[in-house]
Amino acid sequence: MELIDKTKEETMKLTLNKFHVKDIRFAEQSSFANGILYIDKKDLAAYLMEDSNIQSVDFDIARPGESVRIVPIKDVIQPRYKKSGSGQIFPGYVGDVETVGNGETNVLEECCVATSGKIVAFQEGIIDMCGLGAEFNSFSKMNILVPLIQPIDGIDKHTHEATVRIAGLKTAAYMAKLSLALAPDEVETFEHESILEMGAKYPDLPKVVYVDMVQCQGLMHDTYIYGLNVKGILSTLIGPLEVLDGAIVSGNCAAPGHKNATIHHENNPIIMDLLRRHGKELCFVGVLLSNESAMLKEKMRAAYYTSNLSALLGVDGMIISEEGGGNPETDLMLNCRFHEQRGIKTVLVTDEYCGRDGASQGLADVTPEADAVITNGNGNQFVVLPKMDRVIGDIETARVITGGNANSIGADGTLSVEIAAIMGSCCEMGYERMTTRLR
Amino acid sequence: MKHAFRCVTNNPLLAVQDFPNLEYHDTDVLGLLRIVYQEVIGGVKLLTHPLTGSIRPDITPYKTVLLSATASRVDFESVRLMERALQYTEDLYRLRDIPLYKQCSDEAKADFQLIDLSIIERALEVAQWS
Amino acid sequence: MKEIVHYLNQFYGQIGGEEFADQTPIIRDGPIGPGVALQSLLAEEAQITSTIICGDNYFADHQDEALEKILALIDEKRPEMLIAGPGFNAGRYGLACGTVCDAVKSKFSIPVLTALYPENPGAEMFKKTVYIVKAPISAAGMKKVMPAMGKLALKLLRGEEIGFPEEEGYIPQGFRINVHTEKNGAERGVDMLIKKLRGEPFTTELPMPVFDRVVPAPALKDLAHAKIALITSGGIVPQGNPDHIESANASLYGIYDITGLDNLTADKYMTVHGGYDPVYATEDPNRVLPLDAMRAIEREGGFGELYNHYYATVGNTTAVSNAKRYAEEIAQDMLRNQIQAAILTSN
Repeated sequence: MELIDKTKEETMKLTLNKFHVKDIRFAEQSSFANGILYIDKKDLAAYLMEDSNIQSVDFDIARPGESVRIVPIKDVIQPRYKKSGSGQIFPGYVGDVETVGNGETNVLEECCVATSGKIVAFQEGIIDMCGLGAEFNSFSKMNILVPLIQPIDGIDKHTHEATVRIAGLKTAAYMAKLSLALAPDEVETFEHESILEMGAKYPDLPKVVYVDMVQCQGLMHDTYIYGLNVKGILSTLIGPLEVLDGAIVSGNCAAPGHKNATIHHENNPIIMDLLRRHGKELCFVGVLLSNESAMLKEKMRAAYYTSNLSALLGVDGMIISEEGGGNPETDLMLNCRFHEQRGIKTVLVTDEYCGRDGASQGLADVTPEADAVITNGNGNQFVVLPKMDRVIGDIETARVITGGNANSIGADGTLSVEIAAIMGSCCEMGYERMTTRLR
Repeated sequence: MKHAFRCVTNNPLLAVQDFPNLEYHDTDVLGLLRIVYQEVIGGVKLLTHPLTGSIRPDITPYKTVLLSATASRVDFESVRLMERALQYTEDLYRLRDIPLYKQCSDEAKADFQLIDLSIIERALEVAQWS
Repeated sequence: MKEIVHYLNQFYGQIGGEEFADQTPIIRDGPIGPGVALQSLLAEEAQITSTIICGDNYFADHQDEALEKILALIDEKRPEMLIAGPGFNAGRYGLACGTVCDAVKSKFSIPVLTALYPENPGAEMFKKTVYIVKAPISAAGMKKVMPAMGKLALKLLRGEEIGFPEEEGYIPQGFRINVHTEKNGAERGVDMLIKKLRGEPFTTELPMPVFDRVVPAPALKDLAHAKIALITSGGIVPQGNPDHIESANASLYGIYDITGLDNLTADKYMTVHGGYDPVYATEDPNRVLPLDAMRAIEREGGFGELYNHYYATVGNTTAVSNAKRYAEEIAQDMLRNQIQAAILTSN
């Protein structure tokens, strides 16, 4: 009798079909041709307005190098759509809750959706398409479609946030779907075996997990896995390829400089780099989700439980990324300490608030075990952003955004802010190319 | 099951909502953290992190901290977290001549209150104390 | 040709050794001692036109007057730059180098430069405001430090952008500056993890602050029979400072008899601490070392007895390594004398 079914698929395989987007234009009919994405506003609006919470929606376009500022921004999403394999992109929202992370997914590169619109009166996040501000994130080098969503009257803040979040995801899916019939410019395939299989396959490589700390503290502070709010979950394991298919969605609208937007999850640079080195320099076991709660006992439980899972998996090392600053530093340090105490080597990925001159202590919590830390910059650096010819969104918002202030807008139209106000500037997944150096 | 805790806050929305075990103080976030620090060195334990949420303590005017209902031996982890939080907040207050929280509109204040309330309700929900 | 004034102590200024440490500030033409070597490095671009020399003790004991005289001398010369030292690990000299540089920079708005051993209290105190080249511990390293000083001096004179400490050789000033990198943060993180897993050296991008956490000792069980000692880092010593404890960067501690004394009177006790306003401690030394209060509680039977000596040092820019050593020795002495507890007062 055959006890083992040798024909069973032991390896997940996800192919990203990449299309480089050169421009986005409004047109009579939506299509994608020769790198140009044509959007029929009416058609897309009708799709989004299937949600009865939306009263009206308009769209705008920002291109690299243009004298354009987008503010405020809620979320940034990369357009993706599954061509084959199970499930559909953003499971729980665009797709059903069916498993993703296999088959082929079409990806629009150098292109993103940035949702704008005022949800709360201090709504945050700037993208400048040129000038000094453009140096602080990758989004300024992308062609951006901005849905401006007006909800129905009397909507509560929670519903408003969810409405805009889902509209952004649907817009991104709509855009990438236009590429389905086309041949990609570039293809990248990631493979990931089951854990037992990879253990047998790479016995001599160090076993590594990635601990993705996810924010889940309340209104405008939430993260969703397959559509489920991660509040109160025990730490859990997820396959890296599922994350690349949009299994993790951001509902976090606070602290633009170092929140993990949906595009950061889809392109999680730590996952991508670990996948690329998997089977060569290391054995990438998987992704552990460890939540960032407000309660200290929950923080302890999450970090202990994450270390339990790491021990069960038998890993040698891990990378831990945080989301936000302040209390998440306690989660970061607890995860570091509990793992190091079990002999598991850790590298932490964070950013700092070390003052205008860079002389303050930049973290709200520290631990002596944290001897390997990546910093993605000091969010307190002040910059004067040049006047832009055009503002998409609401420039008045800049007065009250993180890192902005009442006198942010000069008489000459310049904007004086901390880089913490710039979307993704100090991304704590290491998406950008910045660090701090001591001088 | 009812759980015993103290809720120290400067968020007026909690008072309006008749939040349980409320101790309201008319002060800013730094002032509130200093009050909490005095409690903590007196043997009260922190139940929530003093810097909840992602909105910086120099940006939001409101903060709510849950504390143990009774005092016992000084909890050094609570003391340590409070000292870090105070330093972090003092440094951020010094970033500008007038901290951002002093510059926000009434509309923004209402939203900051709502978010602080949401965070503390979530904390109790997750702890299954609500 | 740009003009530089050089500051030296009595020893490097070739006046003499410790016996000339009370030398008041004087000025000489041209470079002297280390200045000669420095001049050769500055070549045709800059000239050390004069050298100011001041005794270490004079500067330490009469800082205000010394500084005033030095600033007056510099005012006459109006140089384009001031260089001090190198002061290596000499405590008083290092503080003088830092103090003079800092004062000249703020008064004349000209570039200043010195070179000190990183643990020199002068470095700790002034590295934020003054470029301090990292010097070896003693003058044996003179040849090593000079080229870095010369190079940085020329850059400062030319108004060129100053690079990071690793490139320029100065002691980090403590400012974390954003810089763009070749690789993104994630790739740098995975690189670091691989190195850490392989046991290869790696450099963290964000060092944790130094931890020296002291676990509090358990409470005394029997206070009524405990012998308790007083320890202060507030510099309370018998009049005349018999052990010559320095007002800053103390190199020793003292043990003083208080048998039969009810309180510390101003005619017999004083403070030598150089880091706080001494008026209140001078009026009433009990304000820093509370002998009067301890005696009152002793009489009430609040504790067993007060140890008949007290320990004193000056906690003013005192190196942590030194302070740790004093503490270890004091703790041993306390054990020998069967003391159960101590009250430590600062200032």
